Amino acid sequence: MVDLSKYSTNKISTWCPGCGNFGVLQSLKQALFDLKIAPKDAVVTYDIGCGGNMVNILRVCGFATLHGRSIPVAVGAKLANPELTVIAQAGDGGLLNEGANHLIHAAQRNDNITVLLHNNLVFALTTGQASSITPKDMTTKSTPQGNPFSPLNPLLLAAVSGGSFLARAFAFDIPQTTQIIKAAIKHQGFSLVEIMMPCLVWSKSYDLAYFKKKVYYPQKLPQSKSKLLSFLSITDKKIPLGVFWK
Amino acid sequence: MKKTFSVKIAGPAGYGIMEAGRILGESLSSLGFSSLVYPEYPSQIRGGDNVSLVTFSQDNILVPSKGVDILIALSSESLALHSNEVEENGLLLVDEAVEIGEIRAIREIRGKKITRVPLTKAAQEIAGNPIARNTIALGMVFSISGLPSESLEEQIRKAFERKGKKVVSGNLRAVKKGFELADDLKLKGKFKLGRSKRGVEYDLLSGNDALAQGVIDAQCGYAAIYPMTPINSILTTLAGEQKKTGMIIFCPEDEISGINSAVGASFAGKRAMVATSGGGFCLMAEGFGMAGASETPLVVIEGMRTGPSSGMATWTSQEDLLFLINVSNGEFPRIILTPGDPEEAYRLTFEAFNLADIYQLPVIVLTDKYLSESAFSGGELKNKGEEGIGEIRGIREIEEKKDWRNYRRYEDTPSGISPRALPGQTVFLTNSYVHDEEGFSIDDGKTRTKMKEKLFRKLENFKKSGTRLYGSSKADITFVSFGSTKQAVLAVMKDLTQSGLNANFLHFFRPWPFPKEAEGVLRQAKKIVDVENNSTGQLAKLIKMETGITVDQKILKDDGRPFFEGEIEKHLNLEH
Repeated sequence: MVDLSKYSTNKISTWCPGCGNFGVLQSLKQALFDLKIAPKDAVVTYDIGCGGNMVNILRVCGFATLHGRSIPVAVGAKLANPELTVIAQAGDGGLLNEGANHLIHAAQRNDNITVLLHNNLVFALTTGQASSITPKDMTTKSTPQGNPFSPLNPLLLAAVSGGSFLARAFAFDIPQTTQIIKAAIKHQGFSLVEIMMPCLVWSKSYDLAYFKKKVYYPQKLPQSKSKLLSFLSITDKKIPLGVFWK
Repeated sequence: MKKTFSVKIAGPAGYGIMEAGRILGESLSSLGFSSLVYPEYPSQIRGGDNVSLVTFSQDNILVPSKGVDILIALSSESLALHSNEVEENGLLLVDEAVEIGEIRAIREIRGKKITRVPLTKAAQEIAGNPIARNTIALGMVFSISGLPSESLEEQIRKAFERKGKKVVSGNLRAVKKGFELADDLKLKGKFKLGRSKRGVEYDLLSGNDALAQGVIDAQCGYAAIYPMTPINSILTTLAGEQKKTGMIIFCPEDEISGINSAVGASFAGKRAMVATSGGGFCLMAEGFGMAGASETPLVVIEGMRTGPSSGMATWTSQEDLLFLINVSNGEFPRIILTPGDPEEAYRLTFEAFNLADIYQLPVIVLTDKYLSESAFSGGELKNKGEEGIGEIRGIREIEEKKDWRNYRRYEDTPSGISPRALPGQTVFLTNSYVHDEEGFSIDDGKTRTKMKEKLFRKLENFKKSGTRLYGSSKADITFVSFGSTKQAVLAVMKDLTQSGLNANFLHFFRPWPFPKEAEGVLRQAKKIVDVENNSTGQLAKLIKMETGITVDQKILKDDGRPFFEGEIEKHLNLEH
């Protein structure tokens, strides 16, 4: 087993036992290790939310920013020092509600950063309200009658905005998620990795068993932009994983 | 002999009126006249009433003149709006292209002598372009004022060089035509101007020119600017110089992205800034707080315009002082600089980057539409000396530090200032949450208190003065103001002194942190008169809040215009 301790602080995580964020953390550490990126050369900007609480436990040049603003802080850091590896972390609330404007424009400009979207379908740290990515009809604390809206589709949104690397991963598949994050970091330009995970506390109707049943790695991937767009548009069946576009 | 002359060119947007005013100001400055070019315009690209008011004199202090000696009206709308401003012996020149029927319909000009001049027609004939009508008018102004054509011609060459030889020669012919027309109308030398200062050649600079030069000379490496009046020309100047300076210019999707990216760039090692107006800065409030909490250096140029909300987009105000002192949630130290003229704007912008880096906090340079977009004659911007900008400070320490063992980004030092590191040098945490010395998010009360004390300790011993006292230390009247009202108050002070009253003036160029020395001056004052471009007297409130001293009189103007010549005197209550 490789020693990833140089990417670890001595702090204890505040996540719930069994949370998918542990999988993201492990995959990210492994990816940085495999790519030989020293902690001092890696910048991770954090959104506010459960995923953002990684700030205390991942040993890199971290910057705990504001809700929805991890992308612009990352963009400024990368422009100021292109030698750095710059990763923006965000939850579904931060990226698709508060910060959606930054997502589409970073994709449009093809900013050379990697965005990791921790998608657990709800605002979790504020105790389970619907985000703009929450599935239609799902009951949450803020939608007791069921969510009336169809969710935004982050990868499709990034694709039509011009995102040059688009991928989806599953937090509970650490080896594959590591490979996907590595490819995203190596990509020159804007890369978005949507990392699926159930919220163990606030999205019980979309639990781990649901995701395990739904996720798969398709053999055939879209080869043209138009095929990519229709591929990403299909959301009512299974949940495909992998690098869809680069 | 009249001390001050003024020329107003008014007509529809798209007629090149702003450029004409600027050329006139440049020409007069190069002849040694102190000139002030004050633009007024509505928020539209074509039509409407665009105005360039050029006030000039032998005096150094300049305030826009209320009366106009020569009005050049290029539309009936402009004629109606400004004819009342023409002085008794003034000239009212109207382009012949404005229909006589339209002119007769204007009630305001009844009983006034107007002179119709074939400006558009002659421009078409001579330069093949009606827009040269401005240049003909400028030629007339020079002839009427008995000034030599050479300096005007030189400025014409400079202004139109980039448009090609044909445009330059067309405009030079237009100058000549202007002189001929003035001759024909027997207006040559109608106004005898006093001699300008011999051998003096002033530069003409807008506040924005000076601010942008300060940004460049401070070696700012990153500017994020979303366009908004009145700071737009800072963006265009910085972008125009980008090839030389290598500065990263980021035009963000919104102001929120702008300030957050600037904080990111500063964190990664570039001197970084944003420029915006009050409305844009409302969007930046949270990011500004992040710079404060994370102790990331940042410079903000805030250009005030008439508010609240969308306000009057192209008009001036000083409504944002108390907003900026308090903006963003929670408490954290910040510095606010309020230059009163272009030279101060240049020097204080340079200083802002030093202060931001030395104290690791956000610094605001506050300007307004009047200072930003008006152009003033002045000396060269100085690099050295007492009034100069000095050295770049506060960044070398980061580059020189080599030993990173036991490094703590937010080390609790006696000064409160912690050693800064950059990504790539060592591993460290930067945090907008309340954090401990290492940067880890915390929520225990003891650490929070300790770190808050550290944060505020940075400015505890901030002893730099933030005011300048003009005039003698003892006076019957003491004026107070901040920012761009400086020249107007200096002019009043001078007039009062000449009429035997002893007045002095405490100008706040750094109202926050509140300058400690101000209290002593104000305690000695017999009568304090506060002058501000707002409705509530924000500086007066601040003085009260910080010292308990109540000003005796507030002279406030809040109609979107700066103080014109004579307006402060008019409201000055000399009775106690």
